[in-house]
Amino acid sequence: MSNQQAVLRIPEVAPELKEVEVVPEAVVAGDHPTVLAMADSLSTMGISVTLIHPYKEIEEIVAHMRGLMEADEEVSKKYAFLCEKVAANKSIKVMSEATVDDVSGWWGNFSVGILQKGTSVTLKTSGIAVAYKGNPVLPEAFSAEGIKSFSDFLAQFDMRKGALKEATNPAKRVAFVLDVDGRDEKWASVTALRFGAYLKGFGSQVYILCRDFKVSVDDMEREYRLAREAGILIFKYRDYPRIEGKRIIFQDASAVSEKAPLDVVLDDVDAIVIQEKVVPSKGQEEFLGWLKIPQEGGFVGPNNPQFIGRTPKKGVVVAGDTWYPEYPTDGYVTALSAAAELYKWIGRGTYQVDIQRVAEVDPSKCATCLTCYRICPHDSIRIERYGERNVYITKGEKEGATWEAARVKVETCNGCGLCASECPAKAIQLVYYPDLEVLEFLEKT
Amino acid sequence: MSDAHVIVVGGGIAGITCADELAQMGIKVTLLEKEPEIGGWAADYCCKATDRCNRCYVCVSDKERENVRSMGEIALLTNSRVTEVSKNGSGYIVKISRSGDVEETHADAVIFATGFTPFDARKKGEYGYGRYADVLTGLDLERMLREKGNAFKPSDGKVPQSVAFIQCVGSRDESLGHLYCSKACCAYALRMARVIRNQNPESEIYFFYMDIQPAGRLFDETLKACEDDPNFHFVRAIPSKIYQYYQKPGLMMKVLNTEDGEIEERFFDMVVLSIGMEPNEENDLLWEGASLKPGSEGFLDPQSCDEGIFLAGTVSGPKDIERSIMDAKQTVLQTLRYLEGKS
Repeated sequence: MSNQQAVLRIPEVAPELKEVEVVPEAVVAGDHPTVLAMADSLSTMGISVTLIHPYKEIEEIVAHMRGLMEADEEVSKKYAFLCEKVAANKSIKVMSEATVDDVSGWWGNFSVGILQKGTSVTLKTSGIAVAYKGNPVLPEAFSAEGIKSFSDFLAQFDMRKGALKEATNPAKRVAFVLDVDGRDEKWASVTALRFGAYLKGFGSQVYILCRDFKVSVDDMEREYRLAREAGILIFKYRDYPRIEGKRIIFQDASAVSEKAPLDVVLDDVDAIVIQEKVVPSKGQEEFLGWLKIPQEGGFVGPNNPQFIGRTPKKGVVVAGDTWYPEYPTDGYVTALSAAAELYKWIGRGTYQVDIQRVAEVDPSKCATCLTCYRICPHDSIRIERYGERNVYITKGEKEGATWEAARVKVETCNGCGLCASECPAKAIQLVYYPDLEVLEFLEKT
Repeated sequence: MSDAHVIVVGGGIAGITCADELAQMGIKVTLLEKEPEIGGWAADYCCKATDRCNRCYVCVSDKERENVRSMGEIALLTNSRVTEVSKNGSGYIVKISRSGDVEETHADAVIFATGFTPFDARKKGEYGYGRYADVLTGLDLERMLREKGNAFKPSDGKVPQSVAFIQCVGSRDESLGHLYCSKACCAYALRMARVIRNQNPESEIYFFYMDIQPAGRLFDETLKACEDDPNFHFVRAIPSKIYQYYQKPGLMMKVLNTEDGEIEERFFDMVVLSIGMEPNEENDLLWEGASLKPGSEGFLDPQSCDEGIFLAGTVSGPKDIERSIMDAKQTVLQTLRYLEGKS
């Protein structure tokens, strides 16, 4: 063995594990109902919780779901109960009419800037759990007047008279149009069916138009059958329905003959409700940007079911639409999982400072050959575009931050060195990176 | 709470996750498995990557299994069954039979993660499963792809040119008393069909379905990739029977042609029945002490359990790997709360 072999340069940092005390306290913030679930379960597990929400009363956090709570007993049971429980829990410190303004720091030592009624406060905390509500956006083809998104419809619906607040008589015909933008989400099928069954009670005729009816939710197949027996009409369309005023025209896909397609026309529909696309709110984008949490399409989302609710940033968990838009009962499960993940990080009183190695690319050497991208088992190294020199901009970073090389996602890199040992240009090194700032802090204290 | 002892019954993905999470929180855990090896059904499933990962999460289950096996904190009892659970003060006495010997152990909480039973495709006699070698179930194809690496016809070992997938075999079926969706079959069938297409670019896939159920995020991408594939045909119809002509190879299928509305015969090299989940066949050995009761559709009802008894995974209803893990995590949280409330 020769001594002249290339050796990876690793900056000299005392790589010893240090055990540090972590105060079991957490900030739970956001306007999504699942903040209640996280606050409640963290509090019962002995963590002192500060709940930050933008409304006057805790009740208002679930206000937009009132319609759904009326229609679905399980949702109502879970969230109405949570409201009472959190309001009665004296150990939860509630800051109302407040939003998170700035976050910095790391696991065990976050500082959260809070804007409350015009004054800013800074809180020190060990862990953060957030859940923001997304914004509903209707696809452009359906943004005519009189068409409503699910969330607008549920918010504007008056339960006592069975009609929209502006209307005088109960809606005679209501149509729910699903699957117009992507088919990943199941919440709209469930909402349409359960709310449709509720509307039936007011004598409304309910139509549900979809590509595929999503029955892969508990008890949904049974409800689907009962709804059809009760007279809710469920259509499967071939091309996107056309909407002209109060009329909906579409081709039925369950009609047998494809050569002589059957056109279905629904006339005089009082309320047309379109499944909206949920896009991340500004608060959510900012929050993820401050902490440099990676995201796809604005959601942190499940990439590995082992880590539900967990983000690559230690000590930060998310639920609600920040995780992914879900039906409230599913979202409840996500929120509980997120709380459990946070408990693992901060609930036990101490933690070990993890001095982790991560890969670092020398942009001047990188040939963008994609070797690292192919072999990385953690999907932590990426080249967004190649052919021309690639440009990679993460949200929250300075505008125009360009990388003319492969780019390591520090948050998910495991420091295994696979890419460094395979890189033909020897452009990758391992450095002690993410907890350097933690070490600095430790030396000061 | 730190000296609490929890018994997890069942070493499938849900049970494994429960044991792992509890051990990580510093709780003493015993994991019971009736088979000689932990892993459950997911240990038989194949990786469904084509040119890229299709997010079936079978690898996550494999990895988690290895973690638990090498974790010293978890007491792992294989070849073991629970024979009796009886209440004792604030906890339970669990009788464990292990290769003939019966032991009694005290537990503060018991988690049942006893899983499901795959639907027996022979109950759908019209599809000829068990009679024709080239009629497989989804589980058979999973095993074939996992063990042998590629899809072939069991009758002659050749690569199939035309493959049909029949969805909802044993699910969404009122006549069998299965008025539920098994939630995993659309996803596994589509992903395995993609694997077959990827292995053999000449193969044709026919996908017979009623409604396609999404599974997790980015499923739309997989679905679009299938729809854009010219050799991949989606047919919204369920075949009525499969048969063979005397001394002729291949399988004949009677199915509605959605193009002209006529009933027609189609020829296939291989047929895959996407079987769903049934309640675990041992669910009727209900342990009185634990007061486990069936809820809707025969799966156990989590609301009926006594305090200190919890359910995780498919024992309470069909779930895919992702949902089983989530359910297990939620169960762990409930268990922790319960244990915390006791101490």
